[in-house]
Formats: sequence, C-alpha cells, structure tokens
Amino acid sequence: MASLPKRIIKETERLVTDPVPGITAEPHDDNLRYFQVTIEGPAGSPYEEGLFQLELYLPDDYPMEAPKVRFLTKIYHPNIDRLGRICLDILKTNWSPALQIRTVLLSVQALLASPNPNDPLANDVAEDWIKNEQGAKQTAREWTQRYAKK
Amino acid sequence: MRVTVKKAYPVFSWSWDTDSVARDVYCNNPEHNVRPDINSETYAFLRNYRNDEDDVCGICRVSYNGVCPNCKIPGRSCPLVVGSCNHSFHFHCIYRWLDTPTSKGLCPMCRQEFTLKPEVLINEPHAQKFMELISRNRERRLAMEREEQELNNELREGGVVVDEPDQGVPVMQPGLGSDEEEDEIDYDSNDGMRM
Repeated sequence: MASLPKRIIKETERLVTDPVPGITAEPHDDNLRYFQVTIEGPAGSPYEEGLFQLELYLPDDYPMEAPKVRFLTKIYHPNIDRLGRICLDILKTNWSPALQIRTVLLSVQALLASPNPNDPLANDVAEDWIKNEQGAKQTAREWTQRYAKK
Repeated sequence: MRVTVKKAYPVFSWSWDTDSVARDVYCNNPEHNVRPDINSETYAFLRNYRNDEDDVCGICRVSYNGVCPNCKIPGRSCPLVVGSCNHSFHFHCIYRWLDTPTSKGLCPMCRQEFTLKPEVLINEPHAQKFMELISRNRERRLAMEREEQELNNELREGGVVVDEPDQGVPVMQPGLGSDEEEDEIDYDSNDGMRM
C-alpha cells in the first residue's frame, strides 16, 4: 500500500486526541483509509438516544475527492436511503478540500437534526415526511428504538 | 587573547513572504478600505505571536514553508501562491484542485473564483500556467451550461411526453439543497477553516 499522506495521519491523530462530541471515528487496523464511525442522534431530533454506525472511506484522491460515507444502521430519514447512502451536497457537488473528516461528520450529524424532505434520496420517506410530519417523526423514533438503541 | 576563526557555519532561514500578517490586521479592520500601515515592530510582534497552525496549506495541511505531498524539496520547486481572495496554497495543491471538475474553479476556503493575486512577486512565475487553467475552467463551465440549456430546451419541446417518465426516475443525485441545508454547510465549512 502506498504511504499514507501526512494530512490523513494528522486528521486521524486529532480525531483521537480531540474528538468531536457525540462522534467517534476509528481507522481500521488493516486499512487506515477505512474508518468505523458512530454518531449519536442529536438531542431534540427523532434520532435522540440513538447510536448510529457508519463507515467512512478516504479514496486515493482524498482530499481532492470527498470521503465516501454510508450509514450501516437502518435509519428513517428523507435524505438517507435504504442502502445507507447519504444525500448531502458537500459529499458530492460542493466538496472542498478545505473540509475534513470531522467537518463532514458534523454535517452528517446536522443533517439528522434537520432533515430536508424537499431534496429527497429516499422518495417514500420524503413523501411521508411532507404529508404527515408528525407520523414520519414517530416512525423515525420507532426505528431509532428498534435499530439504533445504545 | 587572540582568536583565530578556523571554521564558520553560516545558518540561513527563509520563509515565503505572503504578507499574511498584514492580511490579518487588514481583516480585523473591515471598515478600513486601505490597508493600515504596519511598521516593522508590529510586524515582528505579530509574526511571533502567530500560531503556526494558521500557516499551513488549507489543502494538504503542511506548513507553507514545507512541501506538498508529491514534492521532496521545499522552496522554489514547490512554491506557494496567493489568491486574490488572500488564501494561500502550495502551487501543486491548488493547481491539482482547480483541475478537478468538482472545484468549479473555486477557492477551497471561501468558494470565490480562484485567481492569482496580482502584483505579488511569488505569483509571477506561475501566472501563465494559471491563466491557462482558469480559462480552460471557464470554457468547461460554459460548455456545461450550454449542455444544460440544450437539455432543458429538449425537455420543453418534448412537453408532457418527456416530462412524465422523467418524474418516475428516482433521483439519486439531486442538486443543491434548500436554503436551510446550505446554511448548515456554510457553518460547517467555516468550522473547517478555523481548524
């Protein structure tokens, strides 16, 4: 394997020494570009009390290319589909190499706090969210209890 | 006593002159249109009190006086460039970024179009290469806009027949988020800049 760029080493060190509250990210022993991530559901959101597992991969071209992030825990959210793929502009068209692993994960956490059904990835969930917000939030709470319990 | 010098070891230190200290002072005085004059004492004072962390390339996070990930020897072979937005990067880092379609020609820090700051000495040797890259980017952007325009026209001409199946296709890569989402992003990218 090619040697790890300094930037990735620095970021990894900082994630360990100065972690973001409510977020953990640990590199895999065999592949230091592959991170096991957990994000706590933000307080006041339907995901409160949930602990969500994600995977994050830094492609060879990182930081010229965005990290690949995916939810492993099932989640009822209009911008996250059944495969755990996330619709977030900074992961696609609005990526900037000034962003880092920690800022990306903070954005994902913020997406949990404010779902955006008008720019959906999971169309059925988004429809439900627009038609019956209270019901959808209730479903999200139930899914959190069922799949993301700490 | 008589001292005879047998050997001497001259030591040099160097650093890119990005005028970054002046920039910081300027940024703290937004109401001033003209950069306040900084005397050498103030300059030295600020220079000493600056956090080294701030003096790193926003792309590779290595010191300005160090090298980009693909270079070995710091200095002229891996130079620094200053943007007109006052953000500085290793030449190779920003060049590689601007050469990706994702960059849309924008500065990674402030998302303004990245151009070299004029009348900065260290920028001069690279001006030509950057001009070429920037004009290539502009052409690429124009071509994309034209394509989009044509696609829109086709859809409009096709009317209902084209629109209907289009709606049935699941949207896997929707465009930019709503205002609300962009607010979040702005917050986070600002956060990234501070670190």
